[in-house]
Amino acid sequence: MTKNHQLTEIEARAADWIAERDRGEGQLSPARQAELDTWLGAATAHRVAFLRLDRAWQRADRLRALQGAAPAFKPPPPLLPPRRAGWAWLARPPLQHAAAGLGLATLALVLGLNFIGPRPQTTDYATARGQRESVTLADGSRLTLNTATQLRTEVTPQARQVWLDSGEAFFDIAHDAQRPFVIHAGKQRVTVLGTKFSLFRDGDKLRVAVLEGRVQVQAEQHSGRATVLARADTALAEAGNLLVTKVSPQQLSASLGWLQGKLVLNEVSLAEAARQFNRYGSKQLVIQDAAAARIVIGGVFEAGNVEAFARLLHAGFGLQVQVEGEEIRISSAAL
Amino acid sequence: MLNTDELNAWFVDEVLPQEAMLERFLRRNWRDMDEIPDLRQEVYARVYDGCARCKPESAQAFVLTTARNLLIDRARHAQIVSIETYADIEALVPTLDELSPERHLAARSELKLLQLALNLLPARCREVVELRKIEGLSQREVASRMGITEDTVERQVSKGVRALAQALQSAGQGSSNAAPGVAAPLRKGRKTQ
Repeated sequence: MTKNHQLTEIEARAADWIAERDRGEGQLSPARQAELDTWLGAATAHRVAFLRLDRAWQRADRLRALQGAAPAFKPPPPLLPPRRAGWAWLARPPLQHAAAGLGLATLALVLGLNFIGPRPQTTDYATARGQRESVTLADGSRLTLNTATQLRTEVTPQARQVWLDSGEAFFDIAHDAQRPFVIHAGKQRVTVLGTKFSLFRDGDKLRVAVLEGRVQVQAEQHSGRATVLARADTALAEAGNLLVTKVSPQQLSASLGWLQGKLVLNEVSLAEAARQFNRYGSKQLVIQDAAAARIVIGGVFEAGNVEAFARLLHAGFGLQVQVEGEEIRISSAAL
Repeated sequence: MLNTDELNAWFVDEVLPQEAMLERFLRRNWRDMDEIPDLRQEVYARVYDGCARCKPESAQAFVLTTARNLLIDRARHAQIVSIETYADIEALVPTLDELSPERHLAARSELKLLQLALNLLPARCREVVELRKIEGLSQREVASRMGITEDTVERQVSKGVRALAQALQSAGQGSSNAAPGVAAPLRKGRKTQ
């Protein structure tokens, strides 16, 4: 008991030091700092008690994440060039189930426990350029992340939530009427009970394509207006506007070609094709002149094999291909 | 040899995160729960001093070995622990790996743990900590917001620091179902608290 008392005294003293330092925004006066150093040096018991309490106090910084209703959230700067407003469609065989085949794509998985930043309760997933990964959440839902995608998940007994910070993902959501699955994507909120659909976030633009079931889309700000999308609906949500289009099943699966690592281009300009390829590789296609940029391209390509695409441009269209470091420069043939 | 800063950093990053596991180990193997904080403190001091001489490969193994040796020392000196308990402690070594807390704790979120801890604080202290940590106010701002003096805020922070460490400790314990299959054989023949 006397020992307990001794420890209590040491801890009280250590806590006082931490509180005093906290009052000075992390700084003690030089004189007080010297006193603290002396006290710490006097006994290992002082030092370990101080370090332990200081760590607890610093861990509490993560409580900052509770500020405001939703987790702290910074939209990332747009990493990708803007895509044109329509989908590129082409008939495709039905989808097989996603993704496992890509090999050793690595998945950055950071558990909240290790976080310094303000989003500790969630699990982070991220894919690098050209990577594609599938993850299964605790509720059985399965997410497939396309290239350069960042999202965070939080599945608790009460709620299922995902924050799509950037990029594209396919959601195969396990049905649970008690726990709606909510995806926050910038200014948009997508709510489902159990369904399959894909989301592509590009800055504040959000593209939704529904493969199965129903998906409710609404702006985070105006909780009143919600739009319900059904199978084969696609939508482009941007700045409070929602443009809904019905597409054919073939068009739908074409838009999900990436699940098999394919880019499905349906009569798009070479400029647009380059934008799509450039999402996937470190090698970037640069179209050098307007005449080349206007060439119309159609077909199904390996998203990860931009070199093959460049060879095709040379062989099929007679364009000049020049490789400079990470750039593949395409230009019209000199006349 | 590590200098003090390196040693402190290592202690904070590698040793202190073992606290939940250490606490479980101590609780499981020591009858008098009142002595647990002392034992923990003593383990930390021994680990810190030990590491000042030579940094071990694995902080976790070192913490557990130190704890085990401490319990054996205490048991021998006190001569109050049954042979059976003593044998249990000796037998602990092969199961160290299974005690790893990370498997249980990693899945739990830090924020949830902190929220639990926050709920355990006394109301006034909690309000100060919330304003300071969630709202990000300085102590001075907390004082004017709550209409109390800065000295009072500092005292509440001091209380909060201790209460939070304690609460994090209890919340960490309460939340992890510490490998019951491992715990059971060690408990045999002893009263559990």
